[in-house]
Amino acid sequence: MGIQPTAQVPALPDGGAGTSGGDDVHLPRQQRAGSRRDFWRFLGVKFSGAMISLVLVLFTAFFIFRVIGGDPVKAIGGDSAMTPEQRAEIEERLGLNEPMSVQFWEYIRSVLTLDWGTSYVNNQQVTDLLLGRLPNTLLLTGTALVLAATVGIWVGARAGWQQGSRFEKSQVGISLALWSAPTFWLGMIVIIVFSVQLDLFPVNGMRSTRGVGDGFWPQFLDVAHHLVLPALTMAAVIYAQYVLIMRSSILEERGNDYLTVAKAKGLRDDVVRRRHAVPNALLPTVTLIALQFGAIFNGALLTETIFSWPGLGLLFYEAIRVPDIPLLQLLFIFFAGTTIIANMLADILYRFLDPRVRSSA
Amino acid sequence: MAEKPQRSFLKRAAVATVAGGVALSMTLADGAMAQDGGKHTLIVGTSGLSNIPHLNPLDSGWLLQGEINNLMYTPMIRWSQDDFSPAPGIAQEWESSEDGLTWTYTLNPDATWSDGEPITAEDAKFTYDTIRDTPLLNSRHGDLVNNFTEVRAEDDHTLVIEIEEPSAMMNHLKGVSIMIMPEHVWGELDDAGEYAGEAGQPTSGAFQLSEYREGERIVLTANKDYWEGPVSYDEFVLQDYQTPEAMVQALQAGEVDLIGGLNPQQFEALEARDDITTSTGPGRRMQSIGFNAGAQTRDGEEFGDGHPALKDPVVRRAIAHAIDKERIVEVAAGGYAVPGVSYVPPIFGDMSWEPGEDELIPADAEIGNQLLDEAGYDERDSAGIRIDPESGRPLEFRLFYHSDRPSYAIIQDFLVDWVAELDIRLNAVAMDTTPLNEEQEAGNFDLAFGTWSAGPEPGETLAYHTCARLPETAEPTDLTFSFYCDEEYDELYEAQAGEGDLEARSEIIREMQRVLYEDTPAIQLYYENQLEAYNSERWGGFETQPAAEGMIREQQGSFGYRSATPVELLDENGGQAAGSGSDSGSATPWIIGGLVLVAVAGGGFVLMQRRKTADDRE
Amino acid sequence: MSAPSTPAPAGDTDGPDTSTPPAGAPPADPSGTGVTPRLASARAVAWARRRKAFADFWRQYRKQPAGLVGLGVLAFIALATVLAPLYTDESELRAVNAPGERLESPSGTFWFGTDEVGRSILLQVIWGARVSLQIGIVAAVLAVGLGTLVGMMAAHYGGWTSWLLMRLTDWFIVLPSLVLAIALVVALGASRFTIIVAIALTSWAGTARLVRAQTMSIEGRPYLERARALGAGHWHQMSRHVLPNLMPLILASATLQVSSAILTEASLSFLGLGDPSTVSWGTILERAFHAGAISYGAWWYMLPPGFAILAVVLAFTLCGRAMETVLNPRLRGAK
Repeated sequence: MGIQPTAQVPALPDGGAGTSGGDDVHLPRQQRAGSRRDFWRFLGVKFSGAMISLVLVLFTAFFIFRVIGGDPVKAIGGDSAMTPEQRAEIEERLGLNEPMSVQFWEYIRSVLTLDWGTSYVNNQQVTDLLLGRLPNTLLLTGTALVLAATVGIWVGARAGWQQGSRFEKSQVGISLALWSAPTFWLGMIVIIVFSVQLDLFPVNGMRSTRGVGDGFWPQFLDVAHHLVLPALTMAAVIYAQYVLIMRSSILEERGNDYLTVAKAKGLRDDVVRRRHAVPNALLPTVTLIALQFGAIFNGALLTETIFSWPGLGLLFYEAIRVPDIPLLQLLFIFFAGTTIIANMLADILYRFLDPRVRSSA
Repeated sequence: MAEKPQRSFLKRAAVATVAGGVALSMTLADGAMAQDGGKHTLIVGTSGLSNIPHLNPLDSGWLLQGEINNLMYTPMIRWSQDDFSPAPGIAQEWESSEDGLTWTYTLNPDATWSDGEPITAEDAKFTYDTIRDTPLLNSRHGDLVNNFTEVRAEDDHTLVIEIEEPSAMMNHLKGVSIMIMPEHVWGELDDAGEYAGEAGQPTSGAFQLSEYREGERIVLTANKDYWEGPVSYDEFVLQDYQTPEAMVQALQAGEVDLIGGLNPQQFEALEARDDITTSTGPGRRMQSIGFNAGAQTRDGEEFGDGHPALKDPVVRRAIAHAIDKERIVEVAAGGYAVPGVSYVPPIFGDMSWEPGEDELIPADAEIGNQLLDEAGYDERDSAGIRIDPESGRPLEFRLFYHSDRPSYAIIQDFLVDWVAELDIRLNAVAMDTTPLNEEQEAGNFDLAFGTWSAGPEPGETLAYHTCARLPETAEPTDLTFSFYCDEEYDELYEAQAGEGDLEARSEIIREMQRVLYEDTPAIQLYYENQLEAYNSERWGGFETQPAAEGMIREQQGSFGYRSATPVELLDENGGQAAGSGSDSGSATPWIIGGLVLVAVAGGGFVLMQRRKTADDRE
Repeated sequence: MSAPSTPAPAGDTDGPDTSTPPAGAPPADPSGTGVTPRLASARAVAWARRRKAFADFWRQYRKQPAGLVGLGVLAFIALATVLAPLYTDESELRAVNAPGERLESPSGTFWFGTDEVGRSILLQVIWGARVSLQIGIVAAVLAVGLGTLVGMMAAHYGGWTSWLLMRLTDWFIVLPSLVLAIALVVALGASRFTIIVAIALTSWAGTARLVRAQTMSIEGRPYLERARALGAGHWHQMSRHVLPNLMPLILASATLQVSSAILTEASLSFLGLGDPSTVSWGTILERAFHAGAISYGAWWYMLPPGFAILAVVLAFTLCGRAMETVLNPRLRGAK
């Protein structure tokens, strides 16, 4: 869901005021005249920055989830009567009786040894849980991302090129409307219309309960069938930012002389757009999209919850209810860590790929 | 000229995707129906599978775990289908010595493990010894096994247990909570507490585990040679759903065959369909309001910030008079519930107590007011609220309710108004479950909502009101209800715990409920009905527990699942063919809604766009 | 140029490029129209300048039809919300006073039908607006306030402070905000207050970055150097010169922030983390979902609150975008 400002900011990128996020992308421009040494310095700055952010995430993950407190014992004991002996046994096993400082050192140790412990609920290694669900989330978000990005960039490019046209206005309108709809609500409506009423797609989950045989293709088709609605819903929500970013990127490009030259050479409008404007506008767009990585997790969280898609978002939602602290910590660190690293890579890659930056380096 | 084809490629790809998606869905929707052709699989939808830590039959705290255990294992003594009284399982019959300290159980000689080995008294002895010696299992079942002085197998089919103190539990050996494990397999385990359920293990019940995907699904295969008679289908699947709503849709789509835990709206929506049959019966989950009857330690040291007036049973009783349980059942539970009395729901037959004419606390604020006046609560403050003569504080209480329970939010509304008629003020406070529990366990509350699922062994629930459950020091605890402590009640508790005779015991149990009803440490609002539905185009023959008007799911046994029969195999009287059940008509609002969405989004912008072009022309 | 960044206020070192002084903000320029030989009181001059700035701003804004539509929708909703006590009976929101039957479909009496207790959905949507808007606006103001403070401090003080603040800002920008907000609400316990805090804490960073860049460009202007030379303290520089110049940008940012705050509130409520004691659009949807509105086919229970959210969020977004367009002439200029 594009609800938070990071998602929103690029969703409205053609405004002068509301935009940010592009600040990092600025850096290359200012340092364009820099030398190779500057480039290494730049790498160092970016890398150390990301490391500091990661350490901050590690600390946050401990404190925020310890504050939740809660009583996992109940969640483990079950929904029937519990004896005093049982309660004592569980508390002992989970180490809940230890003082905070001991728990903290335990936590640091687990971080350093990459042994994240077992889930309160499942007695499974939390890393196994994460790895087990990760492919499902990748499938969903990947599909949605590709869908939203291809269509969004294509539409955005056309919209930007034909500024003021009917096409542009209607597309911007649709994007904004999609962006304004709550993800979960959109999901509910999609379920009602396409699953409950029209009976075209399965309602939730990732596979048919009745099984479809062991062959690859039946399995593949089954998953694909289940994927349609969640992927479309998620794509619809993140779609807007691609349209709007690409549109404004193109708007920026349009003012440039080289395009005028290209047109003056007698190239067809379409060709100018496709050959010159779009490739140049694409780089900053893709960079900005990479910077918005965190927004994708937000979307995944809500989409997976509404469609019962067995991915990481759903896992997080389930863990919150317990609360399953080791699992929550790992998921939080994973979400935040992935985003931080994706951001760092986007920054570096941008500087590396931008021809204007590269040539001067 | 590369661009032209490229663009149309995009367009074509989009069209193909949509068309493909639709075609795919059409074929698969049909395919799914036809798939299970030869094999019959009963798919049960549930929510909360992800709560389940493992499938260790000796360490089960969840109803769902219990359901799976019951499908795979036969207990020594089960709870009868009619009224939850102890009934033969692996043990055919049992008797105690005069002094109640030696119990002899005769095992069914036909009983076998699914691998063909006989189930013997040695297996039973092995199981009880294992529970005694494994700390994890002992913490759960110590109340039974720590009382054993000796367990011995007289012969293959005779088990003798000597105990230290007479115990009512010997009559059922904790029923379905403890399953007997095969010594020839479990004897090899290093730590029985670590067992988490393994596919293909020999079982003593109608099914064997064949797949366990944690948090997602459990697949059981029918044991064709089950010594009590195999089921009429091949496979049982427990499929997890995140929400009841998702489950309902899966039932409608034919993805699952049987679901439970519905709310009244879902129940009625399903009732209206031809291809689905609904089933309802009184359940064992109760909703209640608990009072802080004076948080204190065992030594009488008080703690918490409860209102002192609530220590007086008269005040609690007066509040009980103000509450119209029938109305609450109507509004909050859609009529699918039974007004509550005490801690043992009526489905448990003999164990459950019904108030007589003169014992009943009728819903009548008049009587409540009278009680309060007589007890000296007749002064009022400037706001017209009664004053507690002892502490001088007005009778103004906090009422905590769980923010994630919509029905509490509704009930709370009624309670505030009703109790106001007694000139008592309730301040309802919505809280998250976790902080609410914390406050309640620390005695920092006046009234709080609560829910409880009673089992067939009433002692487990009734223990929560004994003085022994009060904390030793002024520490929070969730092992007591209402911090209630009463000597008369404790004596009754002791008496029933050692009473080996079923009838004599149930009499004491009923008396204990009477005491609780009169003292009112809590008000039982209602016992929820179990609301269930199944696909009657595929399945029928479900039997319930209790046998009359009971539940199919969440039984203390597996009568419902074991009696399930594919429609093709049902004889004339049971089977019923139904027409196709797609409800038309109700689709329209959704389509209209979708159109409005498009119209709002599109229309607004067309409008703007017009004006914009007009502006531009200026 | 690197496109996505260009629409943002010019970068740190670029100084005031032509697009940066927002159209609506000439006020603090001392050589501007405000100074007259007759030396009216400074305050009067300032006010006159601001009035004029506002008039300019409005003239530009009026040319944005989408912005006008957004403004119209907001005005309507604000009116309907403020006047709600005059034409509805709040007590009917209580279950005790529910006037209808369970899940009645829309009729003359209940335009949007009733919920599972018999309360009017329309009434709930009208009263839900109060909570949703309140949370949205307060959270946005807090977020933008915090962002402005951090951004200005980072720009003004520079050095170590700036580095620290910007690291923090980057950190908050990068984190998946919904995940963080959920964690915060769960940790602090769900209530209207904690939701506001959680939303504000997870959404201030964008503004901070923006404000920092803008502040730096303003501080580079000559008149501020003059002010500094004349001995103006930090506080004076900030409150008298920088902040007024930032105001339009802050306003636009806040407007956009409101829409995302409303969406976040709805999402949190839907996940069961809303303030349970009040009715907001998010909590109505949550109840609808759990009451089985989908199975029951009770479309009247789900469509109205959802459309209400959509309308308000869209309206705020349109207004915010229109404001941005006014502030950034480059966007406006395109033919």
